[in-house]
Amino acid sequence: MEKVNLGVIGTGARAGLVRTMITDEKKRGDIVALCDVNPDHLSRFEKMVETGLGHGTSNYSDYHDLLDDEKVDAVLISTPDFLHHEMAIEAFNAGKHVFLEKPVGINLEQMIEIVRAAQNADTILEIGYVLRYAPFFVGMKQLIDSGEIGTPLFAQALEEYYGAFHFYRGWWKSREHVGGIMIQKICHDMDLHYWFFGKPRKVVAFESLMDFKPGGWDSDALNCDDCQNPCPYYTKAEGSRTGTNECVYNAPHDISDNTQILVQFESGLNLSMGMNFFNARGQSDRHWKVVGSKAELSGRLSTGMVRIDPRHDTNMQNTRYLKFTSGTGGHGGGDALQILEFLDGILEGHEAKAGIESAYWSSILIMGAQKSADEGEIVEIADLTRKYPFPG
Amino acid sequence: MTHFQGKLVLDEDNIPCVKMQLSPQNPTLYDIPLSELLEEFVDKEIYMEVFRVETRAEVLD
Repeated sequence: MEKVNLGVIGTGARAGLVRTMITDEKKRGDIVALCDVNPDHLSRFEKMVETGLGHGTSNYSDYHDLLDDEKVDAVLISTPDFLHHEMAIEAFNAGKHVFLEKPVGINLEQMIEIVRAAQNADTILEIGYVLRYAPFFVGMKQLIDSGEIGTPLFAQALEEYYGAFHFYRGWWKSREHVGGIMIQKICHDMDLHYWFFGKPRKVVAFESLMDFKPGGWDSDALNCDDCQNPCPYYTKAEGSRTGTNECVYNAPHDISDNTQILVQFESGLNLSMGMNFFNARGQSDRHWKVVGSKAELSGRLSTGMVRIDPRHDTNMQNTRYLKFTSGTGGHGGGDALQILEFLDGILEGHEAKAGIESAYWSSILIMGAQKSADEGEIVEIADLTRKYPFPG
Repeated sequence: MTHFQGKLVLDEDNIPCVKMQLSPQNPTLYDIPLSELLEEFVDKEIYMEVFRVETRAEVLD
């Protein structure tokens, strides 16, 4: 195979990560087929391909038809979370390589079935953990693996995301559709923690709804059209990412707006990971810190730079920032790079970075955290891996 | 609040300047005098940290 023919299932916002294929000088892939139940999304995407690649696409409204299309070698599944499970399994059964937008299903049962299907297929699975490709995190990984900071001893991570615009509207706002906000939002981070620190031993988590509930804003309206006191999340339904303008405070939803997770890894390293949606806009970022036996790393994803403080340095004389070859675009540059790595993997016959093992362990960790929050208990990872063993 | 990043240089008059882009769209680097960058803070108490930045051209796969 000289070039991968890609089909895109779900042509909404996340499918935009294939734009890099259009400008890719190596021309590793071509976009040949599209599927969406939303004709507007499909038509917009088709125009983008026509303009960028100079040809049309085969268009479908039923993803089974796209999977039956023999010219399609690989698929990008960028549909809402609750559709990932059935679509990924069908895609593997059809013999396609699969780039699956995260999360890996919305519960442990779905995850293990996806991982099993990937194991049984002679094709590649890549999960949309784009942050593994963001220079900021690649740089951190490099600093940890090189021994430059010594043994990792402690870690702290915080994600603050001014994202109520869509998380409390449309399909995002329902646990039935996302499995829980930890699974939807923090699976990225847990994948990185697994990548950095290895296998987890136990996890405990808490979540609550503190702000995005009735009383959080002085209005009783259920949508922006009826609101006499518009809040900063005001939007028109038409053109919004969710297609709705439900009130982020008053419209019914059943996901939380903040979480704290504690993880102990097999190495003994303790990690705390927080997330909230009600942060000040200027703090919207991923804030990370890893304390090693020789030095401490810290930084914010948006800066692309990692600060390194030698442990015993007085007066910060040797403190410095490391700037890594930077990417541009969403998720600290990761969006632009990952799809090309996926295509390279297919052409060269190997998994990219976020393959089957990553899919399994990141899910065990984040779904274990969600289970802990739901049941109010510490979750022993060994109990989960006994019940859902890694296939193969 | 302001933050900036770039190479610190001395111009022909020995004035400390930071080499930086004026906008993301224009890749040209201009020498901006520190006094200009800090103009809005004159006569105000400020907190300032300055660190060295190293660029690592390659990242591990």
